[in-house]
Amino acid sequence: MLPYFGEAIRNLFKKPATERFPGSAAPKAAECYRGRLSYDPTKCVNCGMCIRVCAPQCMTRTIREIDGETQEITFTFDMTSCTFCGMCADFCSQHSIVMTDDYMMVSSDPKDFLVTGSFQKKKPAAPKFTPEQLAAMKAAAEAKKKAAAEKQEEKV
Amino acid sequence: MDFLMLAVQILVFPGLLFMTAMGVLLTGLGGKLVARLQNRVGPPVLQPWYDILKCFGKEMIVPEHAGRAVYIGAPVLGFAVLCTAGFFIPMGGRAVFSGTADVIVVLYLLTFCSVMAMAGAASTGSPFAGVGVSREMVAMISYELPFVLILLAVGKLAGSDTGGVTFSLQSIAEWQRIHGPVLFHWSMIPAAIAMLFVISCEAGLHPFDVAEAETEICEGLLAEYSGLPLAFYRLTHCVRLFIMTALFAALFLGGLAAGNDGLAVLLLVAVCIVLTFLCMALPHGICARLRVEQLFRFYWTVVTGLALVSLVLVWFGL
Amino acid sequence: MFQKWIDSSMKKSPWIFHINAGSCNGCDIELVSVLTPRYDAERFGFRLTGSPRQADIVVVSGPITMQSRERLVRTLAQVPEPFCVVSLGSCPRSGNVFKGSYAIDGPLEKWTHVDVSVGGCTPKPEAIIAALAQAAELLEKKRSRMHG
Repeated sequence: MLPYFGEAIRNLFKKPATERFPGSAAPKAAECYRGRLSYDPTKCVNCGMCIRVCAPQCMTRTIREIDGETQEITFTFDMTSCTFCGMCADFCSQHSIVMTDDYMMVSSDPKDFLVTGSFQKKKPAAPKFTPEQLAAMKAAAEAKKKAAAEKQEEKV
Repeated sequence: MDFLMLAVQILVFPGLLFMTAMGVLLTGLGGKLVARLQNRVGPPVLQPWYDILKCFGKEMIVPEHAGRAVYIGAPVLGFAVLCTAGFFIPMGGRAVFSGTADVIVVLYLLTFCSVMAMAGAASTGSPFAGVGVSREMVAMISYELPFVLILLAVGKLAGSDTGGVTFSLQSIAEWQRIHGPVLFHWSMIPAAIAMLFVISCEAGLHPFDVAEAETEICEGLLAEYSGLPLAFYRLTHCVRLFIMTALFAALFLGGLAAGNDGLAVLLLVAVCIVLTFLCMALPHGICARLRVEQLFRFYWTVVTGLALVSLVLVWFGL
Repeated sequence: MFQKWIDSSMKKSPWIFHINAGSCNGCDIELVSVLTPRYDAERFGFRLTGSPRQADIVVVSGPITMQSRERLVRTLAQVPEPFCVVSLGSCPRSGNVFKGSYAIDGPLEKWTHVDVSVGGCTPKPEAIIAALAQAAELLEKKRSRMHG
């Protein structure tokens, strides 16, 4: 008990170790701290890798067609669902997702926790054949092959 | 005129208002000192006052199976009884009431206050409160024995002129006016140290607050209390600290600045602040909460031993 | 005037009750670290109470598991008005990595109102203090709304 006694009395005459946080500016987070992520839609190529690696599935991607040529792609990152593992930032080949050190995520409004970004992109070229056509072509090829095989059998 | 005088004494000084204000201030100051001992900033000195006011503003929930009268009445009655005990203690030279055996009345009223807290807690029927009641009972048994021994020792010393034991705070003060404070008699120093521990436990201060352990038994006695009755409990806690420190001042440091009432009150306040530091801040700052059986063993060996040493020394006229 | 005093002291002495609704203990540790000498939330009057009857701010951490759901609802029902609910970390709001599990019955909004939420997994103590301070401000508003 005695060493604590000395320590306590010494503390009495020391400056308190408390951070005076609300009242002064919030202290900076440690190096490599993973806080709120930032998303730069101008760099994104819509590869979808981040959605694949996200464990808590906090990302949603919506694709809206503007006209025949272009489409608008919107990524939404829900910060109340994120585990801040940083996998999306690691896998982003274009460095469009970056983890910032902003940890002050406090709000009464759920909308404040959403990080969104959207960009427009030229629609990918339409495929030459629709899936139905492809299926029909495949069936036709199959039938042709079968007919050829039957002919062979007849010969034998 | 006499009646008016008495009313002022009961309500303002040294009655309700003074005791409440001093209790709140001492508790707040103790909290601040604890924080500084632990190297942090700590709550403002008026924090207990904010706590009490806030409790007045909260909804009061009466448990379904609780006796309503006991549940609400016990804290209020406990507070009233405690204030009555305070009226017997000389503050600034005089007490509101005085009698031939007021030490025993004070002892009884302080015990009654604890019993009221237990009755209120037991009426809620909560198992946590039940555990709290049994712990409070153990704590009471622990500090009551050394407390009585200390009172006996002081009474014997102050009654040495007449050859008996005195139980009147007035005559203890009278004796100290002639012979100097009891604390300055070397044989009474062990009793004074024991009294410091008794104050800590009686006022339910941190390392000895087994009955209200918030992390172990959900606040124990106060588990079911909210709103108005809780405010009275907090108030009782604050005032009890002041009354115990004032009792220490009356028993061991009476008779200082006799004749000058203003100076006597200032001295009383100073003594109370020093005692708050010794009994509340220091043990809280350096010690974790004791277990129930540790508390019991500590009080019945160390503290009782100290009090007994003083009693034996005084009995042999040393 | 007495009412005004009570209102302002509501903000100055908010007592915290912490409910762990299946949390991984990360947020719980950070909440306790808020009361340590370095962050010292006690200088604003915050105190951790052991009983929901004395609480002003209820802090919930963890995705609401099936086992804790009933206890959570029962505990919240015992808190006297006015009180605030603070959700701590990602879990109570969304389920975090446990999202879609058969053992989870979240989010917290399904069971109670959420006044302030803190993001992060786990939030930093500074963020928790900021959230608690915001909740304390809300408490005063709620109280003054109670008496009109």
